Amino acid sequence: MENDDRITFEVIFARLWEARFISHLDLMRGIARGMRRSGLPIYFSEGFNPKPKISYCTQPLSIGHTSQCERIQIHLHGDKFDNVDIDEVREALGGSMMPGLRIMNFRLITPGEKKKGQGDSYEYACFKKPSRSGESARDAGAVDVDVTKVLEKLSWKMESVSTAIDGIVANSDDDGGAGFIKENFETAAIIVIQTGEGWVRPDEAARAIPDFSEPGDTLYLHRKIENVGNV
Amino acid sequence: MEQAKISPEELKKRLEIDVLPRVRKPGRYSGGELNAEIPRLDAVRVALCFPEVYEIGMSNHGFLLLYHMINSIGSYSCERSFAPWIDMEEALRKENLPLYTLESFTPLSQFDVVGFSLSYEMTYSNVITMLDLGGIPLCSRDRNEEHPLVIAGGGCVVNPEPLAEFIDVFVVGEGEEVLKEILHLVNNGKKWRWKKAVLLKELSHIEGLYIPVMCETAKDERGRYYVSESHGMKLPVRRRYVDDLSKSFFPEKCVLPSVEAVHDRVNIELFRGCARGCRYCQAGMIYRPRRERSPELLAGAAKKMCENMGCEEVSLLSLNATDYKGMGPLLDSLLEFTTPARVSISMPSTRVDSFSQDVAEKLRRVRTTGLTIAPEAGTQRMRNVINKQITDSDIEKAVRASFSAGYKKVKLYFMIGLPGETMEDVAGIAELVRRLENIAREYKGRAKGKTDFTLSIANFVPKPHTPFQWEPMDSVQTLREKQNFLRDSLRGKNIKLDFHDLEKSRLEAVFSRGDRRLGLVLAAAWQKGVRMDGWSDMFDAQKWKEAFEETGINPEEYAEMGFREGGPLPWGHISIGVYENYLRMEKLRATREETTRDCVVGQCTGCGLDCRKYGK
Repeated sequence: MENDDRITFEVIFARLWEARFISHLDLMRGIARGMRRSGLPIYFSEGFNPKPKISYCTQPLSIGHTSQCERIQIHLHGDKFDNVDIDEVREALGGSMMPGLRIMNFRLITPGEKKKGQGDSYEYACFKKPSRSGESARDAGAVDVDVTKVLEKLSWKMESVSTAIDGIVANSDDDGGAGFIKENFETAAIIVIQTGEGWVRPDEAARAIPDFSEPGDTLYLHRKIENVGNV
Repeated sequence: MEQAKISPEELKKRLEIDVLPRVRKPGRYSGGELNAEIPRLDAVRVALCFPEVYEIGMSNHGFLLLYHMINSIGSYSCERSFAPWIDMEEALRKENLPLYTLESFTPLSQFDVVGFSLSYEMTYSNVITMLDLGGIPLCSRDRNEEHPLVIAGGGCVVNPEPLAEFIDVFVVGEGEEVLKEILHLVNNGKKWRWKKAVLLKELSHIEGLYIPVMCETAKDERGRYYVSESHGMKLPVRRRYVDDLSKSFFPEKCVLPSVEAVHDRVNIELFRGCARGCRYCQAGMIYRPRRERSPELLAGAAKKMCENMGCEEVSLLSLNATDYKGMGPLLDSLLEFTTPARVSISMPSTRVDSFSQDVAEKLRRVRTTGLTIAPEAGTQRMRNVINKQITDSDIEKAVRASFSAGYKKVKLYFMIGLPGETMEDVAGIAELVRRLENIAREYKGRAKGKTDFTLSIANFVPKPHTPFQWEPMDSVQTLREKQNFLRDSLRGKNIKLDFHDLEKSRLEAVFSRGDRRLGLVLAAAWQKGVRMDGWSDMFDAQKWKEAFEETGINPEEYAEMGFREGGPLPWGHISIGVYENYLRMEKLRATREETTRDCVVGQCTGCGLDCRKYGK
């Protein structure tokens, strides 16, 4: 913990369907304004342009995608760690978040705790847009994926990055149960992407799945888990 | 554009799947912002349209003010729509989808009233785009009972003629009161199923409304059109304005843009109108009389808005903020809550003669922003001509005050092409800037950093209802020579020059003093593909040139040729309340290089608006 009078909270929040068209920078600005509206004793950054101190921990999410595991750290003024009413802080922040964001988990980082930096892997559910013919998503069923073939297709990247596609889900019911994906999609797949050197964009990886999408199709990604191995 | 009827639900679904993932900045078109109003489908429904992109429209205080005001009245519901950027327009056309409002995804054609906010002539082509994409016939005469009533208001409406073919009703002046009267009649019309002609007839009795279809035009000696008579409408149309600003609507919160707007902040309007009487300034004439709000009211409103919006900046809006009489108490009350909340205070317009070091220091209590001052002209003679009553020493003093208060960047506004301007006056701009640069050097060590000047050099565009409304505009060639002269004489790493596009300024002059025939040019240019003319990278002078040639209309008639004093004017049927005699007198004084004192401190100048009533 810092030696100043600040206390740090870790917030895991969901970025719902309504908020998926907001860019990462606009989202950051929106969160900062939400903190200002909450009336909490914000810890501001020093310098000529003071701003609420927020650390964004997860990889920035591309425009158009949803997530249930965005992680940030916020800093508030508070000299007595033991006296903090976590529920009260969570309620104040939750009530002032911008539309489309929902707090999933909220905790106080205890003094001496090692701060968790950026996640090392992410699991995404990939959805293909529904067919124009109006065919029901559920009728379309699951698509079998030959993982070996996918990996072959991605082989030019495989030397530097570990990208694994470990399965497929049948339909869009698998959205974490929180209304992240409102539309019915034809098919969905789960991909896991390791961060580190040679980061592969998850939508690029999803496009490499054989018979999953046509070039030019719109794909939707839903980030399900950060630090896959640790769950 | 021919479109099949589509329900808002279906439209939203199609947009989310087929359109928004493929366009740039989809947040502009997806709605769902904090503090957005919930649409009431059973009310009289208004689509308030801003003919520019989302980021610009969401920065417009008047637009947001009217949006929240209409929604504050139970029986009316107002939603927003903005001009789509080129990629979005293409995508909508490709998918055959209409333009819609952000609140309920309802196509514009399904509203009772579609209202445009016109604040810049270069957005006129976007009005056409929005009507067409909205599924509304472009010309007023082609619309029937099924189509919405198309109205327009804003600063440009003081000369509505270039858009007269496209708009049913123009609202001249401030919209707060007159909009309620319009909506009341629209509500009655809906209830009693009035024909459109009946509704227009009823609307014609409201003061401040101009209905082009009820007026006849005639030609002047050069073939330019002017409104000569009306059928059942009182001419001239008198501008409406709010008498008591403290009682007019003031929102406690404004919708927060989800994509960063150009001016993304809490806006507090200190006062309306300005009596300084700068002769080139249209705003200074058309927003008179000067009416102030009290510091107590403003500070309370600012606090509430900051709490509800969470913005990091409060902007003090007015035509020149430092003229506000209650500035001291207002800043003190604002600083009480803005300093601990790290909210900065900014003033978009300040006059150097009323700018003090005290104000500068208070403004930079939270964070130091840039400072903008507008000498407008380089020599005292020229400043006398335009009645900009500041001296070189005022400018130097203000620059000193700002540097000693810690500012590092100063933005300077100048104009070239002013009536009676000589090359000595243009050279005066360069000389003044060099002197200011020397002052900056004195403070360089103290400010610990580079001192920078950004010069914005605009081309003078004569505007209707100003003392220069008859004046010819400088030709593009002359203005180019003046720009090149300044470019050559102001070289230096601390000076950034920002010139306005010459062809664009000329087109602005044409449309600001244009007549009804320009509707033809606008339609022809729009068919050729002009879009987003306000953006330098989008402005296509060639297409406009072709449109003028095809329609046989000479743009010089509206820009370089000027108008005869005493002759008919295309905007002559609009009365903004300022006497024409006053404008003529001011023009005469300009040629004599005589100044006219601000009537707030001096005696009444007899402009026609009884300012004493408003406590000056």
